Amino acid sequence: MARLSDALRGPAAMTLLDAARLAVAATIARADMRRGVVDAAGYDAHEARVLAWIVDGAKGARPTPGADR
Amino acid sequence: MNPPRLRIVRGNSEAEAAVLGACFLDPRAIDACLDALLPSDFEEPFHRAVFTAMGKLRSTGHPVDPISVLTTLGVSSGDDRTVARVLGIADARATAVNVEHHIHLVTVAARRRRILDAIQDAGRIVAEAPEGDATELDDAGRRAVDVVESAVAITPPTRERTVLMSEAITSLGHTVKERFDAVRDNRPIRSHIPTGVAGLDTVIDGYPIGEVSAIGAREKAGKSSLGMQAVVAAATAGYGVVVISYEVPHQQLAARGISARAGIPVSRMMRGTMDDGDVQRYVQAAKTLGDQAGRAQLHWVPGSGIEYIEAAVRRYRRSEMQANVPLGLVVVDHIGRIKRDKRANLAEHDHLYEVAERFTTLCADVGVAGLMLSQHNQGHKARAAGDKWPRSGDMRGGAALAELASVIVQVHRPSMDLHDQAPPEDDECHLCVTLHRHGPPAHVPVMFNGPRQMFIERRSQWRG
Repeated sequence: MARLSDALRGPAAMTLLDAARLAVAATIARADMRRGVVDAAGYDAHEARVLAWIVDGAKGARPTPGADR
Repeated sequence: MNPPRLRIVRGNSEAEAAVLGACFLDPRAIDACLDALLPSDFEEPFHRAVFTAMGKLRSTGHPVDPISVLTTLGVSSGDDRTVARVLGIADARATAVNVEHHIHLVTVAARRRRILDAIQDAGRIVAEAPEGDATELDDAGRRAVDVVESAVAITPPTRERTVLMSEAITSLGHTVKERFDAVRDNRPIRSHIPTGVAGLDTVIDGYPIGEVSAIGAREKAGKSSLGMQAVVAAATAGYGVVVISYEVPHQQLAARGISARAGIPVSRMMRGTMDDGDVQRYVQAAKTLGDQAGRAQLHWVPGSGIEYIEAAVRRYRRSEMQANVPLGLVVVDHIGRIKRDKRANLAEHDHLYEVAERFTTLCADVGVAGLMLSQHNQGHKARAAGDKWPRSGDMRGGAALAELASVIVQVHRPSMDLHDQAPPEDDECHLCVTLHRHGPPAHVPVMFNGPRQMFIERRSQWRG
């Protein structure tokens, strides 16, 4: 699994599955930031939790930004 | 099944002409050439004949000059073309000082040609083995390896040979393994990688292994999406895939590949407006792809050159992944974005030709299907409204790809010419097979589903 920090820097290569997971995690987290429920300071942690939730098979409720604080 | 074909740069014509030109200038150059080269080292039949004539003249103590060579060749005074070719070789060189280097270049090209010929023969032996008989396949595999080993025996050990041989034998091994597995599993033996569009597979069988195919389309007409359909189809069929994107970030490529499977509009994925149902469908799609999606490596390398493709492919083949999931498909998106080496001082046309040629050689050498994407130029704008069907000349690098590729598929979406209307969600269009070396050209009717960024059968229903 590619590390999120690597993904944010834009690594040259990753697998299709990792890239897709990261794409979904990033878009969910960005949407949460646009809605104002997470700020820039909490973004990375929130995205990491969303990614972990997706990697884990999206079991249970989607992580909420409040849980990151 | 057709035997695998190796379409490679087989000789070094310039070096051959330089060697012969030096022989006309300096008797010591002839001796050096006769010591180092055989007539069969020359790829061009004409060069081979001239060299043979030079050898005869030298061995009988006659002067080696253009007139003597023409006489030995039995050329009549009326054969102006042959006379001009011999005189051209003689006049083209001002000095023989670099003859040793040119001999080396001819030797390297000849050695490489012999090895690749042997590999081709070996591939043919395996390909022509009777299907369904494991013992005969085993025997064919052994005979194929014998052919390759005999090529090793006649070529001196060099680093280049070692690399070539290891890659060739690995490739050969996979050919044999593929056939064994196909017999064991009672399924057809593949020489093509599926395109991901059933109608297109019906026409071209898939993208041929060991050769280059090209996809051409206007900007935003779906060429990357068509490429990603092949990526997912190849990974699902059990092949390793390397995608080199010079333009679209890998997360966007991945979003297209997965959203098509999940039935989630790409725009919802990219904008982050997926609801919980979308996320669940996405996770389910990822589960379905499972390990297969992990077989596709995405590289996003804007600003890199052709060398990156060669390095990434060779790195994959030397990695542990190759042992479990042999590389089957390499996708390059797209040719017009591959950085030009300014030091080489090549014109645009020559740069694109070199890129296409190196990619073709790479795919043949390592035995993978190559898929080169190309964006259309503005050529269609100069044509009348009823004459918008794509042509090879519409593609960037079209001349090179028309010469080197085995299959060219071009996207034709008439709706893109209706500037006052947005394309419909299901856009009726064609995948035009404008070049097909193993069969006739054809137009495949399809629909481009805009929300999911994928081509689907014209008459089939979307199933998310």
